[in-house]
Amino acid sequence: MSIFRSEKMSLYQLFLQNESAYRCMSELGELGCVEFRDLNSEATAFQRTFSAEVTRCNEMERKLRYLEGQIVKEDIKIEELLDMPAAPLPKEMVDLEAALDKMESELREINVNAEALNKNFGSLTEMKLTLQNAENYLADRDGIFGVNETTSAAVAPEEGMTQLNMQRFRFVTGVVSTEKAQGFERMLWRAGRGNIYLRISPLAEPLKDPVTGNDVHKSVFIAFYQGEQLKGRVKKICEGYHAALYPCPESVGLRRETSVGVYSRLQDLKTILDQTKEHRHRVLVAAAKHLRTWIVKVRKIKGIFHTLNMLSVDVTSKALVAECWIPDVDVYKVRLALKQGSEASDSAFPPILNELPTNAKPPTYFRTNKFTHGFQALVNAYGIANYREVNPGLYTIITFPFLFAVMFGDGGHALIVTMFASWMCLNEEKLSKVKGEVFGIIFGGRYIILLMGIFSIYTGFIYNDFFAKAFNIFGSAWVVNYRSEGRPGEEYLIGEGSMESAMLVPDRHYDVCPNRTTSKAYDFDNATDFQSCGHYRQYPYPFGVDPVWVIAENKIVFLNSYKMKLSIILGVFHMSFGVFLNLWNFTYFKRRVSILLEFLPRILFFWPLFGYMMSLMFLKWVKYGANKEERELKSDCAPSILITFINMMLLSYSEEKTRPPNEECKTVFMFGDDEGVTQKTLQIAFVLIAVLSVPVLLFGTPIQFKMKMNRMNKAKNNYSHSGSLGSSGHGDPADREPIVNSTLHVESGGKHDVHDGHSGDYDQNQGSNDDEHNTFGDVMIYQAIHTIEYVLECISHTASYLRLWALSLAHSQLSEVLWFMVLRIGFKALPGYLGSISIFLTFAFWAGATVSILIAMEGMSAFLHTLRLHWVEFQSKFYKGEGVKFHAFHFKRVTDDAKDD
Amino acid sequence: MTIGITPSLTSSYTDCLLICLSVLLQEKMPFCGPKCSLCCTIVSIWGIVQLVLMGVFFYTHSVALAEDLTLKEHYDDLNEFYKDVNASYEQNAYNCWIAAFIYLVTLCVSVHQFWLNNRVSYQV
Repeated sequence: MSIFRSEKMSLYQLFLQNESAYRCMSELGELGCVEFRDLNSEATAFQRTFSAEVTRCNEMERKLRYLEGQIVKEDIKIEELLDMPAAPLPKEMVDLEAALDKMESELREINVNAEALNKNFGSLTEMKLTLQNAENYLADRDGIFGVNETTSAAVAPEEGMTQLNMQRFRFVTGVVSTEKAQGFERMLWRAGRGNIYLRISPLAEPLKDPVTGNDVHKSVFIAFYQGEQLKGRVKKICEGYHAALYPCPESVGLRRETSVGVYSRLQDLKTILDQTKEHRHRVLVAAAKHLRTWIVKVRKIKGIFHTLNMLSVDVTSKALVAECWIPDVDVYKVRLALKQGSEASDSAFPPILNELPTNAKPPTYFRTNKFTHGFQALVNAYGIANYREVNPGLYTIITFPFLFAVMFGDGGHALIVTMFASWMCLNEEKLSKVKGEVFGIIFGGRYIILLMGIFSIYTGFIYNDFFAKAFNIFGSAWVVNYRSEGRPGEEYLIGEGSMESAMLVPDRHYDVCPNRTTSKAYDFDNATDFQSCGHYRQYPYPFGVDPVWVIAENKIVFLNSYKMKLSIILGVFHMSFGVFLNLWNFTYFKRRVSILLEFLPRILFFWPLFGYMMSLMFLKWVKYGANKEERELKSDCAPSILITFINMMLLSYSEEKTRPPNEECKTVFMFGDDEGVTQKTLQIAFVLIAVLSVPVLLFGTPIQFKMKMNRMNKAKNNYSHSGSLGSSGHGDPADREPIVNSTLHVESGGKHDVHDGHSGDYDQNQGSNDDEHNTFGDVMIYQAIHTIEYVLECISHTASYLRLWALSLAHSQLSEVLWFMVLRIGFKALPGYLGSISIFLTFAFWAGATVSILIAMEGMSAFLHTLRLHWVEFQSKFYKGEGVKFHAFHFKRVTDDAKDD
Repeated sequence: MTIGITPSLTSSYTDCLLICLSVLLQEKMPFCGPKCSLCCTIVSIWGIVQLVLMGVFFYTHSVALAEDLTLKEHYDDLNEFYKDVNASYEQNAYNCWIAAFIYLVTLCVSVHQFWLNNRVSYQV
């Protein structure tokens, strides 16, 4: 159950009776630990046994999608599933199909009716509005021309004239969409040469489009014209502009009558529409209750048939034959599930599960939980592990957050990250339902983030960095070593860059060195006249970096040296660990010779060079220091490790190269005698070992291969001499596919012996198969590439670990700059109590910038660099990552997809 | 809103704040959204915690905060220097606490907004 190696897998052959196949498959789908191989991969989707059923399922899915769309449009809440329904039986499928069919056709009918009604309703509404508007215009006209019978006698002489006009003036009324109104007006004007009188007024309320349901702005118009010719033109233009024309009677009485008629019809339509809507709503609410269940059921049916399609039909066509990968620990579960399935379907013959011996490469399966899942995903993103290969995912759980923390070392920022991650971990039930791509990614890595945060708090304490400030928990090991009495004035050098030195411990005196004269309090690299008392209390700060460095001038110089060495040390350990993991692979896959020819030269190249450099660093830390008694062990006499290392590689030990930094230091050699005989000898020996291990690495494996081939050829010759040629089964490399129906004799009892004999040999089998394909030249080229790569890698990857220092420096500098540029302004901007306001304002900005720049962006970049360190620097040392992922038939996957869709 | 303030012109600053707060509390509709109010709440809590702590550190004359003091460029007299340093430490400590108090006020407002937003969304 560990994730050190992937699960043991075996290939099984499964015979399913036709009548029980569905039930058995449904049980296996619930179980989810069987991967089926597609035995009909040459057949198209339509040539398969159950393609009709899959098509039916697709049809049902389409209907369900339609239903869902309608429900969503209606704003009805879809009930979420409390528990997953089981896969329905085939006969249930027919019922489901019928129910869905009925529901869909009903809905479609309702929708068609509703649409027609809506259209009707819309045009009636338009007519009503047209009539209302026309009423206004016509009332005006009637007022002017006086159609009424109550014309006075005074106008009598002109009466004939007006009547004539009236008869000749005709009009049409209608509705045109507001967007087109202007063009419509212009067109009428031109077509009628100004003889058409048009009035347009936009409607205050937008109308509903009957088909789409969107809001449409329309305008009512009334056009007056004279004569038949113009009438034709007006009608045509109206048609062209899709203007709906509505008849409007000339006389007031008729108009009123029509209005009343329209109104009453509108009322009727409204009731009918309401009823239709209500009916539709009822249908959809009923559907919404079961929608999720249906979707899950259909998905499951489809999954089952899809998997059954991968099975081949037995010659007697009474059974289906499957080939499947099953993890060894789950076989008993599979047997149980198959038994249940066949019992439930009252099948006369139980399904038969046989193991198939095979040379095929089994899929890789890691049983992860919610904690390890994220880390494994990081590794999988690079490549799926080979079968039974050592899995870097296990170590990633610790090394990933740790290397991240080295770069993200700020306790304050880390605290925020930790709180955010623990909030996600504590509310994971609730948050797992939240959709959203970006949040999904962050949520998936919540445990990674949590560990990253916790580890960064630790490194924050080590670096003593909290929002770029340090905590003085145990009392700094540095003091201001001036006597305050009798030395006022210039000796304090207040202000001008050394202000902090005077302020460290305002009223405590460590009166150890009365004759101290140096003004540089914290700089021990350059203080050549440093004496044993000084400003240092002779014992270091107990944990982490001394807080005084935060305000020291030479902070970066000190921290760079410390963090650079630290990153090289971590890198050497991390990479050596990667090389050592090879050992487990070699012993597990029984490639003992490779330990000698691969592992040993690799480690013998790496350690004498970079391991030696690392030990020099420790030696420098331990041996040299400000508190040492001897002059030559003072910190200014410590030799540079980089230069020592370069000289070692170049074998240059000439007089000028080995000159000590100053006269008092005597020697640049760190151990042995002062002339450096011991160190020189050792270094030359180390370089020789490293150089000599390269040809071993380069030629070892090819020569071993050559010898093996020679041996095999000899054996083959001997074999053919003796005359028997019946070994085709052994020698044929193409015969890696298992032969269906030919392995019934492998009993379950005997299989474990066979299996144990072969345990872990897949890789080797692969290797031996490859051996027969490969020639000596191939192996040589392959090995040459690997050797060159490894030798270059050792240098470039060691240097690559310096990114730990670089990112950590960038992070601390950025947070310091942010404090300096923002919060400090808040403290200093306004005098007196007004300062509180500026603090209040700048703090909010500072907090925002801290989260967005220092936590989100810097965290992202540190994350990516950590990922690179794992993928490239660590995994390249041992990880192949050429496996195939175990892809079990599992209902959960099928139904989860449904949710995502 | 001015009605509430006019009689208390003579009263202290905090009274004025409280009145503003009460006026705001009587408003029915939230003036910032659910995300905005949540963000303000978090920043306020952070501000209160950090500023109170920083006030304490200023008050105890923490050396790490020495660079954040308001001091002159150059001092000739040591006693004058000490005096300024001590005064600046105390002033900054009080300022931090006052800023923390302002954040307490914004916390109340944003929590109230958050609550209003939640109530509104429940109604719909």
